[in-house]
Amino acid sequence: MQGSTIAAIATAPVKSGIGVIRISGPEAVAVAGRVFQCRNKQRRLSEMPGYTVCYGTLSGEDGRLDDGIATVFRAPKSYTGEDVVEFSCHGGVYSLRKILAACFAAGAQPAMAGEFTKRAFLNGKLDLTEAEAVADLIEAEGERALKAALCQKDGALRRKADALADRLKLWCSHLAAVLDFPEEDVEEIDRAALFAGVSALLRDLNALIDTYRRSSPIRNGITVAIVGRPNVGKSSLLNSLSGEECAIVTDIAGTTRDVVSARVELGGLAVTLLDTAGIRETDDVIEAEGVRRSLSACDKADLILAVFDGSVPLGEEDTLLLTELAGRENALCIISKGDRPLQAEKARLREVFSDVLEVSSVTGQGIERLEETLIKRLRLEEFHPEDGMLANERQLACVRNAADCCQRAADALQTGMTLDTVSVELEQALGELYTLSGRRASDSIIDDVFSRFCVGK
Amino acid sequence: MSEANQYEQYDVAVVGAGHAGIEAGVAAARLGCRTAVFTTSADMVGNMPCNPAIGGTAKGHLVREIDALGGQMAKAADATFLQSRMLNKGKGPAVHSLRVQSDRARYHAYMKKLLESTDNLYLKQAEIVAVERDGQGVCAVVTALGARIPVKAVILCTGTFLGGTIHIGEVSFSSGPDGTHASNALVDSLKAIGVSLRRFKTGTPARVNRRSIDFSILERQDGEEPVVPMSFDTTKKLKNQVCCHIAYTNEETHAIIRRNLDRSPLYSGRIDGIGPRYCPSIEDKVVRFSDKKRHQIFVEPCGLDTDEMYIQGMSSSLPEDVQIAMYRSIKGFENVEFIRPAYAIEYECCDPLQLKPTLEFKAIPGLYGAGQFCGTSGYEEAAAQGLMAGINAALRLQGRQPFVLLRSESYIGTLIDDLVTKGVEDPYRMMTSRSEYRLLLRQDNAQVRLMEKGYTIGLVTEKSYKLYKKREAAKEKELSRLRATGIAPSDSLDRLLESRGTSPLAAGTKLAELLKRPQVSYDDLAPFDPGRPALPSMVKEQVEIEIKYEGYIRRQRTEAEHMQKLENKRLPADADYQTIEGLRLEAREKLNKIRPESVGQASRISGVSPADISVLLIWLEKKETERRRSHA
Repeated sequence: MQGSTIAAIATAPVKSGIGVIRISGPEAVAVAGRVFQCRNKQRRLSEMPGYTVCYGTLSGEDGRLDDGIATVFRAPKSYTGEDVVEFSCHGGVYSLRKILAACFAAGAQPAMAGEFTKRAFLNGKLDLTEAEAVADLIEAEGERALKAALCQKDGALRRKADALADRLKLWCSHLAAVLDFPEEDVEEIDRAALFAGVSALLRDLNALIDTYRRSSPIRNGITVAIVGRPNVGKSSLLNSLSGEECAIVTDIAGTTRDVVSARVELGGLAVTLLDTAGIRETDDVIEAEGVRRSLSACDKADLILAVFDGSVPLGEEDTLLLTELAGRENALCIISKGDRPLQAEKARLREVFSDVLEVSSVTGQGIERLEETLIKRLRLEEFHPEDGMLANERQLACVRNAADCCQRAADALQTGMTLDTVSVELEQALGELYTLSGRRASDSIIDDVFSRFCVGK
Repeated sequence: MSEANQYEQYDVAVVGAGHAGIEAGVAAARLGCRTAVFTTSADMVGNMPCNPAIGGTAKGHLVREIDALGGQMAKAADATFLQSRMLNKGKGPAVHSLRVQSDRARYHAYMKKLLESTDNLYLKQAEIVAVERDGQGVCAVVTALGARIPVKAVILCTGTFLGGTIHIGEVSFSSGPDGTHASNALVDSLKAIGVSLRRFKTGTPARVNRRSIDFSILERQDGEEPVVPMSFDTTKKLKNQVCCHIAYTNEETHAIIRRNLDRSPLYSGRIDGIGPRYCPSIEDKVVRFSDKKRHQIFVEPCGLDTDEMYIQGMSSSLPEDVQIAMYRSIKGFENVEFIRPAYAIEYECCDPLQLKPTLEFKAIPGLYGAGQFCGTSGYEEAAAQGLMAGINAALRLQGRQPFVLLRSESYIGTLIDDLVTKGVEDPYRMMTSRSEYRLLLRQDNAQVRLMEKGYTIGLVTEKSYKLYKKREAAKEKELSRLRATGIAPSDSLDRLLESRGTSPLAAGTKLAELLKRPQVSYDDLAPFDPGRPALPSMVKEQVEIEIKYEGYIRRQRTEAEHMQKLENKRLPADADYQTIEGLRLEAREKLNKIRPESVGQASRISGVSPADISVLLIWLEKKETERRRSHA
């Protein structure tokens, strides 16, 4: 719908140096302002004129996501002819998606295929030949999007959405029968039962929404940080997992000073491994920055592999790391150099980590168990894509909207609001679910009223 | 055709004087058109061939809207009032619905007198057997007596008369409702000028003699006091004068029906017409809901000057002897005497996809349809369309802009949009669940939504308009007062809140804030609000609803505004959708058939996807750019 504020990742969804998120619409600057804080505290996006930029921090509900540049364009002098803000940030697909999600949480709607260009055209920004191309694009994208929604996992999502919609429809049509045929003996609505029904639906909608987060490892891969004191064998582990010489391995402690990353496949997942500088107290300025980055890599990572040298007893620097990682649920303990006799105190490690694995980068011993443990830790075995999962932001938005409507219906029931408001909310929720399969709510409710209830005079 | 038979000529000819024909005729005449209203029997003007009641869920909303636009139905219902109830109290203001029992004979007399006394309106008993068209559109109607009457517009409000066939058991015969004769010749004439027709069916229960019912064992259903009038203009105090009763069918009734199903024309396949889903016959209910042990029926008096009683819920097309047996199986009906048997009636109607939102045929300029002819059922649905067709026929003849109501501002707009955009598969009845904006479209605020429009068109009288403006001003003033006036916590207030099941007041707040609580009513707060002005109950009601439902109303308004942008994108009448690149095949076919007037209307056609809508928007903009360029 034109008039709304939309957002999308404007660059191709591949790993690149820089990624751009574009927000367009009347609320673009306000939405951007909720996600982006200027580094210079005196500056506000809302006060910036068109064609100006600002450096700052992007954050979402989990806190800081990235640093980047915000460029403000003021209508009509922008690509779409509306107010536009573009964030140029670091190009990781995963972090871009997180930022985009933050934009949605801040009030933007997901942009449809070709929508920026469509708006540009409607606002007189493109010429005729360009417009022809846009029509083709939208057509193609529309079909593809529909197909994707319909065919995804052999229609698993559609089946799931339909099953939820069917339950919702039962309540909608019961409400419609009661409200439209008050003089006939249709069973009255039991508000407590309706509340229980809506709450159950809400739980299932939220579980479906959760599939989006949980399927993120499948869609986007995961990030695993390898940490440990210097020269504990982190880079060897990275190389052994990736099968390539990504990191320089020497006997000199502190060889790896920046974060080195490698993309590998582990347990069927795309995994970005971050090899970090060894953690220790250091006077070397460059290395101190490396340590800071190591710890911040831990913050970003889905999982942390904490590496300890098994061939020697745990030292002071190991203790430092243990303290640092205590309480981090997503950390796994790797005892390296598993081909040598074990000297490290395994019991101390078990106190901090629930998983302690012995691995040898030389023999490859323990690598398979490491993969199994990763899958176990991501709880992917409990995750069944064939039960329906959300595959894109658009589907996510539909189900979120449906859940919001159900939440408002539940609130209305709880606060004692009248049933007309409840019926409107639930019907809207049904409409949102139906957009996943292209049906219309009101017609289907009315059909259901007449097939289920003996009404009419 | 002899010149001697030639009547005078008219601007508008209305064919039929039922609920659609009356509103159409009066509207066109009052807007200054010389209007003839033709009826096959002047004794059938404003007849109620089914239940003697006006209103009900969503239908009551329609009547209020008709009233706000300057139509007649609400005033007639109040003038012939017998009893009324506000349905759905406690289920929310969106679904509050007024239902009025009216005196059938007096309703007819009131409407007949209204037609007779309206300037510019000529009531004629004549059967129209043909509508003629020339290159410009419709040009004349022809009566059964051979008169050819030149006209500039024709509004078809033929009800169940057009090609009517009544079925009672094994017996069927050509007939209109209530023993009138059917209008058969017109069918071929309409087909000849290009109207595509289809066959629908409806039915009505028996009328019985009051004296043959044992009321002592039936449940009473009294009207509600004080009576809320249907019309915003009615100031006279109305009193309930009759009561209705409730009875129930039983297993024996159902057994009689099942035993005789083979004698039903519906089940033996002699009726091809499609019946209304919401108005099933009793045999339909027994077959489809076989696990129900009993069905509720209402006994409604037809009027003060008669003992005829209408038996709501017992519509049937079974043979008369079966009908009598099944009615007599009902407790309290053991000795019931029929005055008129129940019957099913089949009739011809048009596919409303042929119509514009003005109810004019797209392919036949000047020809309009309204009521059952357009595939609806119900007096209120008919009157609403009649009013809109009458207004639009007049506006067209006067070269004024068409008058189309939006879904977001009225049930009338929703009704007509559904008809001309989605079409109908069975007779269409209005229901609140058909409106996505139902928290905005309440029966209490019909005037706020529509009166300004009715006044601008010229149907609303100066007097009603002034009364409305006065109430509106009082409402606005009271809303601001409640939002500005504080209320402090006190023991007596806490006692009230507690007794209503809501938490005590922690700190002082505004009256409006407190009124937002669902448990607290406007009247509850009177003792704590010494500065409160005396207001009519109509104003109090609206003030309370606007405050309590503020959040919902605001959300629905925002949605309506979004939709409005698409409604404002007009699609040219001569668009060839087959040639628009990017539209999917199904969308092209549907768009070419229905020819929507706006992108908003197009978006509601089943088979037109959001991607198709994007393509349409771009195509429109491209055309506009080309036009600007060629002008530059």
